[in-house]
Amino acid sequence: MRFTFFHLMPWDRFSAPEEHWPVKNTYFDPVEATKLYRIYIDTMAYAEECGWDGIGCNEHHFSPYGMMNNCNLIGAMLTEKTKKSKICMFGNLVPLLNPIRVAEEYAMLDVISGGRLMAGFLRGIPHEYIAYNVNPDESRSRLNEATQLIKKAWTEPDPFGWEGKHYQFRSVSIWPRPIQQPHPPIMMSGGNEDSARYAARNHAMLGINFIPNLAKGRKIIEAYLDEAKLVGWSPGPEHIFITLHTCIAEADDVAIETLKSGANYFNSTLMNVQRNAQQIVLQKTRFYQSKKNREFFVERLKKAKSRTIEEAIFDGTVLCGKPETVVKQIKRAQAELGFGWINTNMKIGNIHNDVVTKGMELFRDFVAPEVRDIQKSPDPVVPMAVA
Amino acid sequence: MDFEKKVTKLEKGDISYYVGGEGAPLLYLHGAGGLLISKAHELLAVNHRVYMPITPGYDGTSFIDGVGSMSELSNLTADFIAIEIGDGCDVLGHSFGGWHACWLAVNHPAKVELLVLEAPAGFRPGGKGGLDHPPDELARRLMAYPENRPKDDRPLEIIKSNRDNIRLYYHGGMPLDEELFGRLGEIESSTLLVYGTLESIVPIETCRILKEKIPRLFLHYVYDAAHTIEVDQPERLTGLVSDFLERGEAFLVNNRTVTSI
Repeated sequence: MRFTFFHLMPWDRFSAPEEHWPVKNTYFDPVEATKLYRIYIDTMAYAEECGWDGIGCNEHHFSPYGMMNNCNLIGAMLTEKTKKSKICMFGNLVPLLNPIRVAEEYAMLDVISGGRLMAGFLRGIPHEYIAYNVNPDESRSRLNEATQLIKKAWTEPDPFGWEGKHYQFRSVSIWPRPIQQPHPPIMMSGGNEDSARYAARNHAMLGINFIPNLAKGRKIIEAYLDEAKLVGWSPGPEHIFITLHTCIAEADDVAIETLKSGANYFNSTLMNVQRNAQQIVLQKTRFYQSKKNREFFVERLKKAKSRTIEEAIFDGTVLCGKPETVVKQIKRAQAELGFGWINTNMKIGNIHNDVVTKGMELFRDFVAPEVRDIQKSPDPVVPMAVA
Repeated sequence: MDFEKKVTKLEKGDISYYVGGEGAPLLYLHGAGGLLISKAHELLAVNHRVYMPITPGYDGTSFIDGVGSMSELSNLTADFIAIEIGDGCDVLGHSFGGWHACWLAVNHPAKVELLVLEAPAGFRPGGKGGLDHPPDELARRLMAYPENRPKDDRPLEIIKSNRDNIRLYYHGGMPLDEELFGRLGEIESSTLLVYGTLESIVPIETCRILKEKIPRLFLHYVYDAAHTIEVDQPERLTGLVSDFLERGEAFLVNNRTVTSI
């Protein structure tokens, strides 16, 4: 079993929830943020010392939800502050960006880190499309094309041009190209069965986020494995991530109260504003092509807000408690789903950074030693998709 | 756009061809299925006078004595250019027509100004790729979007004859034309090589060979297109080709206003 330490870099000092997205940035204090960035980056680097195998972050826009509009900048800092951890960019919102730029920056990270990059190719959450003025109807189509173009930029030995639906480039030959061959492992989101199948078709690792219960996670993983078989490859546990809110304290009740407070800030303050923007996108566009997936996403948002921590623990979708409790929770989830990686998110909402650090040390001393050997598997090697 | 069917008398024999459009001349050399005029040809004819000779033996035409190899075919085509077009012209060849165009470029460099190779056949090392597949599989490999294929009015026996009797006539089905391979470095024309991202008849090794051997070659992928790019993505192909033909190597430089990525 391996672990990545994920950080959203939230703005953790909002006094009251905002109603409208985007949040006006007079609430943002750059001087305070300088300190906050330093704390967050040091925390992420400390994860390596505490036994995490990878350090992850992602991209968000126009929101106190996350202060990383380009997670590759943070990734670059992590390459310097760590020695062996995977640099997990989970990830770039590929449909919103220039795919050649994504290919270049990811290749730089891979080379600078000596081949430690895990490259997330994400579609993003709906409201990001307002931020970058991209038609949400095109999100899937742009992701399709950009993914192929980035892979081509990574692997093509000769300069080439690209004439596509969304992207046209007359001459591409990126420097540097990645050190991992044929290219760095790619991670794609598996929020539902359709996206899991899409990840499998692209020979990508599967990243499962915010599932309502383990049974739903099982369905998503089954869809991934089934589709992979159809296209001729067999993912192992090393290809499957699950992201879980994680809070570890000396005692169960302390962890539960801490997580309740942080999750309340996360759901009511950080998520609230973007939830409104997401509703506009979901109602007025075809971001989700199927009604089923749209309703699942909306339902998931509602449940995330209303579900108690106790319910989430019962459902197996958070890790929360004293170390012994968390060990049991990890073993239960792994036994039911068979994943090889847990992407732990410990800075939830406004949980104090010292509390996060204490939880990391409890993980290092009491959790990791008990679960490390549950599932041993090789480094994920993702085969090239063959057209 | 209506293309007019004509016949021209060359020293070796008659050549049927279609011609249409206004502008600089463009010679189009068809693939091994014969000539099927599609939307791509119509789009090219907006700014070009497009000449589309029918390779002798194809589409109900007769073979010509003394024209039995790719090299001899290219000599015949050079005669066609001299009689119908003039000193030289831009040339676009698809698949078998791309192979044909390469022979034309090495044997008659003065006749070929800019050269466009659309998934050219003839350079398949180790026999990779090719047309030997069951009919349904072959159809899938030829076109990702068969619904784009224009209505084919040719009699079935001609289509069958194109496929079964003539396909190997000029080259015997050799996967790699060793003689031409050795001469690719002689191609003087700036060359645009277009290759579909769904291509599975012409192997990617063809691109590697041509890129290495042809001195001024630009490799370009057309997204979401199989072997018959002109049918799968006519707008993408012709937009790219037209720009290349209009601006030559300067086509690398964007001259449009781009408002977002």
